[in-house]
Formats: sequence, C-alpha cells, structure tokens
Amino acid sequence: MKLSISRAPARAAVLAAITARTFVTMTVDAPPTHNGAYLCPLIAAALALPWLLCVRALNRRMDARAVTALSAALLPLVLLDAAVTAGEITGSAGYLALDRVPERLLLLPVCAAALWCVFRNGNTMGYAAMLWARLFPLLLILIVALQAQCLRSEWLRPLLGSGWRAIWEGGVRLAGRILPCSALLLIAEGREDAPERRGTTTSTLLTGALVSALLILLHRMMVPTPIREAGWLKRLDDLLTNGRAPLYLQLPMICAWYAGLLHLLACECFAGATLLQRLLPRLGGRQCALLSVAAIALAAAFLPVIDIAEMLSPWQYIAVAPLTALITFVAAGRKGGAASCA
Amino acid sequence: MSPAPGVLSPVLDDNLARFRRLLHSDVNSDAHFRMLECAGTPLCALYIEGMADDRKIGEFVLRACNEHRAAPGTIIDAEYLIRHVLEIAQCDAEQREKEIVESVVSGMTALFVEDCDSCVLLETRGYPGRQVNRTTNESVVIGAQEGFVESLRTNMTLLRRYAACPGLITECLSVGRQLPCRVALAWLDGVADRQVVDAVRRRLMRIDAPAVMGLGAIQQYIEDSPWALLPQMLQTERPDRAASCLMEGQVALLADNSPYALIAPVTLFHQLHASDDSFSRWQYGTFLRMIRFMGMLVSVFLPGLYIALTDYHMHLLPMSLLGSISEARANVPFPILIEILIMEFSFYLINEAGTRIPQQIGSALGIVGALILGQAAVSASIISPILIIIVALTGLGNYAIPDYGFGIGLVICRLFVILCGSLLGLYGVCVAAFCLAVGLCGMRSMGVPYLVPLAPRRQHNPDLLFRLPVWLQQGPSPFTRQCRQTRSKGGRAA
Repeated sequence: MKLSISRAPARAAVLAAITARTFVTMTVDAPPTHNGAYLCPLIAAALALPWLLCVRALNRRMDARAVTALSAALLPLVLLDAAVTAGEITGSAGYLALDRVPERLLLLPVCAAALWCVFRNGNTMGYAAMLWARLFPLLLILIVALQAQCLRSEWLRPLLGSGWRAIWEGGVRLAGRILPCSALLLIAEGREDAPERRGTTTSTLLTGALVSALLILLHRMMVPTPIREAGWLKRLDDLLTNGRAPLYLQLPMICAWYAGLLHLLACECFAGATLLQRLLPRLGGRQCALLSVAAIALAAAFLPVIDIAEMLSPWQYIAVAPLTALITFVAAGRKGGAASCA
Repeated sequence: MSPAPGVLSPVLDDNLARFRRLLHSDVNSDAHFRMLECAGTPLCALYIEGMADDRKIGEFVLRACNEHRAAPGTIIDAEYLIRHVLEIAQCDAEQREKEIVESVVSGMTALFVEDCDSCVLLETRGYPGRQVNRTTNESVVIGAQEGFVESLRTNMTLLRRYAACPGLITECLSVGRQLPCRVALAWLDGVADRQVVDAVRRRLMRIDAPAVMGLGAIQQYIEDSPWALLPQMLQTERPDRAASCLMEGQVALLADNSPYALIAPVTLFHQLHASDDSFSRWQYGTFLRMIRFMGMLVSVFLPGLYIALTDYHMHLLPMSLLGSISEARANVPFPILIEILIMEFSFYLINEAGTRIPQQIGSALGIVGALILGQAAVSASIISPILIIIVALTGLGNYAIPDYGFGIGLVICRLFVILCGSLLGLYGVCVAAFCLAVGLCGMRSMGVPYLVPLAPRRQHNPDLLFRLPVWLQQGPSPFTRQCRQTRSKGGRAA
C-alpha cells in the first residue's frame, strides 16, 4: 500500500491540525502569561507562510531528492509532535475521569484509532478533517451559546499584554510548533479525488491562524489570565471546567477538545508514516504506519514529550525554516527535477 | 459437418435429443416437447409447463403454424416463421444452446425447425405471480402506493411507467452459473455517469457463483466494502423512488424474485431519505429529515453517552438529574453496562420476535414486551426506570431510519460505542465517534465517496440533508455525468 493524499484533503487535514495545535499550545501546553496571546497565531502564520510556500514549491516540482532531504529533517519533529498530541489526549482523559488508569494504558485506544485512520489512507483522513471542519462551527456556536453568560470581555485587557516582545517570542515558538502539522503539504499529490472548492496553502494557513486567534480570544474571555505560572493540569482544568459555567455545559467543549486533538494526531501520524515511506520506499504503507505509531506510543509513554517539545520550540522554526529555504534554493538551481529526468 | 459445440445443429432430432438430455426430460415431467408442422415442415415447441402460458402457445404458436399455408417451394426456417407465421410480438432467432436453455427455464418457448440451425424464442412467460400491491416497508402518507413485485418484467414496466423517457435503458444480464438470476441494470442515458454504469456491469459480470439468490446476494458481491457495517447500496420497494434516483444519475438493479430495487451509488444522506420527503412541501421534508438525522445520532450515541456520564463523569450531569438516576439505581444489583446490555438484548429479542411472529398473535408480543420486560423488570429491581427511557428513545431513533439494513448496521455501531463508553467514559465515546467517522469517510459506493458532497465537498442539489424548495433544486447531483465532466475540466460544477 502506498500512503498518499490528494491536495484538497491534505489542506483540510492541515487546517484542522494547525488550528488544534495552535489552540492547545497557546492555552494548555505553554500559554504566554499575557493577554496578547491571540496575536501569536497571526505572527506564527506570517513566519510559517514562506516556509509553506517553499514546501509547496518543492511539492509541485516533484524533486525527489529535495523532498527526501526535507522529509528526513521533518520526520523526527513530526513524530515528536504526534507523541505530544497523544500525551495531551491521554493526559486529558486521565484528568477528566480515568485518573486511576495508567496513562500508558490510555495510549492504546488513541494509538489504535490513529492506526485505523492511517490504514484507511490519506484521503480518508482528509475527508474526516473536512467533516470536522463542517461540524466544528456548529459545535463552537453551541459552546459560545452555553458559555455566553460567563464570557468577560474585560479580561481581554490590556490587549497587548506584556508587550510586543513577548508576543513575538510566542509567535516564533508557535511557528516552530505548527511546522510539523503542515508537513502533509510536502507529500500531498496532485491526483484530485473530487472537485473541490478552490483553496490555497496561504488560505489554509491564514484560516487556521484566524480561527485559532478567535478561539484564544474566547478562551481568554472565559478564563482570567493567570497571575502565576500554573501546571499543565491546572491549565486544562481552567479550560475544560472553568468553575463559573455549570459543569454540564462543558460537555460540548470536551467533545470538541477530544475531536480536535484526535484529528491532529491522525494528521501527524499519517504525515509521519508517509515521510517514513518516502525515506524507506521499500517499506509498505502498513509497515510504515505501524512503525510510526509504535514510535509515537513509545515516546509518549516513556519520555516527557510535552517538556521536550516546549524546550525545542523556540529553536524549531529557526532551524527548520533556513534549511527548507536552502533545500528549495538548491532544488531550484538544478535543471529540471527528478521527475523530468526520469 | 458437425455443429460447433454450444450451438444448434440443423438436424431437428439431434437438437431435441440434446435438449432432452439437458432438461432431463426422461424424469422431468415439466419439460414439454410438442411436435407440430408448418406447411409440411416438422417443428417442435419446447416449454416448461407452468412457467409458460399454455393459452398463448396454443393460440399464437400451434394454431398459427398449423393453419399457415406457404407457397410451394418455400423454405420454412426460423426467420420465415418470425416474419410470416408466428403471432407473438416478441420473438427472436437464437442459435446458442446456453441462451436457449436459460430462456426456456424462465418461461419462454423455443420453437425448433427441421433443417434450420437456429430456433425461435417466443415470449410466452405466464407463471403465477403477485399482483402489484401497496408497499409494505416504505409506506407513505401521501403519494403513490405501488410497490415492486417478484416478477422482473412487471418491475421493469413499473419503472418505465415512472420514468417514461427514451433515455431509460434497461440492460438484462444473467448472473450465476448453475442457478442463474436474471438482472436488469437500469439507468438514464445522458444523465448517469458512464463510468459508474460500466463499473456496475463489470462487477455483475465478475460474479462467479453457482447460484445467486436475488438482489440480497448480488449486493454483497458488488459492494465496494463488503466488510463495512453499513450498506453501500439503497434498497427501495417503490418504483417512484427508483425512478427519482435514476433522474439523479444513479443506477438501479432489478432482479427476478426480488420485490425491490437496488440503487447505487448512494451516500449516507440517501439512507436517511424517505419517499414522503418528495411528496411533502419542502419545509415538512426538511423537518422530517432533521428528525431522522437526530434519530440516527440518538440511536448510535445515547446509550454510550449515558453509560459514560453516569459511570465516569457524574459532575457533567445536573445535580437533580444525577439525584434521580442514583435514586432509581439504588436497588439495581448490576453495573450499568450489564443493565444496558440486558435491556438492549431484550429489545432486539422483542424486535426480532415481532418480525417473525404471525400477525394474529402480534398483539400478545406487545403485552409481553411492555409488561414483563418493562414493568416486571423495574419492580424486580433488575433495571432502573430511567434506562427504559434511554433504550426506548434509542429504539425509536433506530425505527426512524427508513432503510432496514442501515438501521441494523447502526445497532452494531451502537454496541461499539456502548463498549467504548463503558471502558473509557467520554474519552472512549469520542474515540469511538472518531473511528466511526473515519470509517464512514473511507467508505465508497461504486467508487463515489460515501459522505459526498460533504466530504469531499462537491456541488450538489439542495436536497440532501436539508430540502430546499423545488425551484431551487437545479444543481447537479454528485453522481451525474455532467458533474463528472465538469470535474474533469478541473472547474467547479455548474
């Protein structure tokens, strides 16, 4: 089985993944302790855009050597980010009700779901993301309607929080975190399964950034900015059971939380498996899927992946973006491409 | 020179001996070989008693042949008989042995001629059959009431009556080796996507089974994902609905002995449509569809959510509701999972028994179900009253789904959600929902994605989940040829 995905489903999957990753990073994983967090996705989008354009150029050029080189650079980051997502899901499950179940055991269902998704190949995963993109606005309206009485616009002030420097740092970190989610665009193929609405890489990124910014704004109106640094569980608690709205109103939010994270994980698992197949073309799709999911599960089970990802995040963009630019430059300098030489 | 194998010989006796052997006429009393003459030329009419209409044979074949006077020197062969003698409208010359046998056993009459290497196949089918009657499973409040019957010919006629246009093509095929089943593949030329029609035909021709017992078996042979829980073809017993599907570019399959049509390709949304929708005003149609959609969600997720919330997330229930549930469950000795499984099993048992039970004692079943399983189980503290509400709502949600097979598929999905909810709470329900959604997204019906036009997005008629006014339903169906053509040009569908 060759793992592949058409461009339209890939864009849908990346949109869902970027939105979820941005929201989770800015609210639970590593929220900046200031109100200007909603600007970070916009800055991250501005930074990630040139990177994505390089990726798109490499993808369109079908330069096998360049794609392989970039795949090798991205694969560890993608697997790490997927492990982070798996850890976030199991962490939420443990926090919500299953605190007596070992977290490693909780990884099994989510890894099985991700494996099931990768086995069904890329377009299926992309269609699921398209479906989620249709359902999410309805769920969001429901969430906002249920929480409307608890939203406080005054908690947004001061709008710039601690100032532009902190916002910039948050943006750079976030740009690094969304690169692995967008890796799918490198491997998307031109074969279109269906007519789609016109969409571009730029619009995908911008839509993701704008939706995330809106979600962060809503979150900030729901939960006051913490004065002191709080732990991961406390931040999750602030998000999912903020204590002001009746608890039973949190149900749609919890469903949206899990669904968003599951789509993010599926996207990253698929990207990991496909990048692995690009690097090791002799491996079958199912073998690559099994290897990737096993690596993700092991990392999530035995490593403090959320901390590692946060530690790397300020440098991730700085390291990957110039490398991608260099690979693109070299590929552009070569006559033709691998495809045209063949 | 001896004839090629599988085709007729010019010697009448050779042909008769061959067909006597093929039809086991030494022991088979149904096969009749009636000798007759036409202007001095020996003929033999072969037919199966009961399958062929004796009156037609006697009046339009035997008498016509006996009374015919040919000019001297005329050569009597199959072509001459068709042109000048036989008084039956539908007759053809045929040489191939296999086709002749299949036609004869299906009720046609073969007329063999001396010194002629082809016979005449006459349409004399006249076996007893059910009259066109009201539909039993797809009743509507208003609108046409006719349903398909077991006879393929009658069904094709019904379909043609509702889609009376020259573009309607009904291609007859024979499926199965030893016990072949006659199948009609119907589509509207110029509307249906040729690739879909070819795909259906190809899959039908690929069936290599000794016996194919009707459309139920055919469906399993030609579906895209036979392992999937949900059907990828639509069953309808209404000719008007089948005709409306043809207008949307879908393909219909009819078969002998199957009182319904199979429609492909279909999407999830088609499984939630009912014929009433088309007959009602658009507001009512939309409302009823929303009810059915909610019914589907309730049917799949309600018990799983109940078990997840009451077992793992009590804090997500309003305090008064939590109090009622705890109070109702105070004396129940079983965990909620066992309680739900007992009730679900009882429900399926009543359902299945109700389907098989003779009508005369059907009311007794209702009493047994309501009294014993409801009242008595609550009194004995085997189950809690609130669970009866949950299971009843779930059952009603399932009954709101028009397609029987789809409903059963959803029941199996529900059990999966219950299991995940009982093991992992909301986390499990969400993982189960994700897996089901991925499963749906990966399904295809004759190559068309099952969730089209939602995922992948396609231009479509606003008659899918919502039903807009008829004058706005001008967009192309996602299955039509036009849609495919527009797609291949790379643009948006018009």
